Amino acid sequence: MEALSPCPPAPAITLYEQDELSELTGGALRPGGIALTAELLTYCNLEPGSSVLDIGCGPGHTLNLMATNFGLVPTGLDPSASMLEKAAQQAPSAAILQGTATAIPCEQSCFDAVVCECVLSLTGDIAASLREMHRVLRPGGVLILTDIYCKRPELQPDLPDLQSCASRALPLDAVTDGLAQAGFALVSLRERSDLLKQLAGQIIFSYGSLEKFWQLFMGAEAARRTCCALAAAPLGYYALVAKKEVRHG
Amino acid sequence: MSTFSFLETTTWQCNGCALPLQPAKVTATYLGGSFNVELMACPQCGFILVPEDLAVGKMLEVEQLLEDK
Repeated sequence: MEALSPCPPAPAITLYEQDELSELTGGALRPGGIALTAELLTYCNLEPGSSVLDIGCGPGHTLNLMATNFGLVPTGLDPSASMLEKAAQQAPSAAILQGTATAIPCEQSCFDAVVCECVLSLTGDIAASLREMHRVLRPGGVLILTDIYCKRPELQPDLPDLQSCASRALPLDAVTDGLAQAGFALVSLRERSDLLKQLAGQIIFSYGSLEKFWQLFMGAEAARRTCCALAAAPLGYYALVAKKEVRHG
Repeated sequence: MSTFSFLETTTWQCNGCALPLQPAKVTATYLGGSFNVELMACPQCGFILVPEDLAVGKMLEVEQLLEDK
């Protein structure tokens, strides 16, 4: 009898590239959407003409916002070629780079600001990502960071391999400690779990239930386990601004 | 923000106004959550009909989500 070869593992599902999520969030693939981005950019009060790197730029809605509404000079970075193609159409004035947060293909100290929305927990190495963000920022430059976090890390969910910040959420103190170690000073930290609940509510109204939404990307049993795991270890959403400290001496 | 339509043909009418219900855009709010929906409502007094299957289905799940249940 021929030996059976093991089935190759199913490719990990990339949630943010799914059309269903894009349709629900109006293009900006995260809780709070483009409105939260505008709120944070307004808070930072960047000078027109400031250079800003958008890490995980996706289809380019933030790039377009930065160029059109704030007069900034945006650069978009994303590992997905299909996303970058959309970004180039959405924000034709933006520079577009393919790459990852852990190895940003840019010179040091070349940006006035870095924006990283609902991406950090996807990078696989937050320490390396934060070091890279610090490296490419000029001294005194600002970092806008939003992401999902795990409210009960002791109950960290065991989720199917879904490339989404939901399955890789970190405890909030892991993020703030990482920022300090990378040389950032925290300027503002806001708890915005209300935005995550808003998105979840929209998912329920749209698809009937959260379990039915997850079934779009995985089998029924995996969707049920996902819902149970997330119910046991709930997620929150944060939005923070940090500054690259200026070292003296 | 997306609008979720729950319009349906209905024989219900507003008892106070004695008028048939018409489609209406409604903002449903609860514990900080806000959702744009389309429901049947009285064109005069604005009284809204929430179908039972919506109330015990999607709306209940959203309520429990917002209540952290």
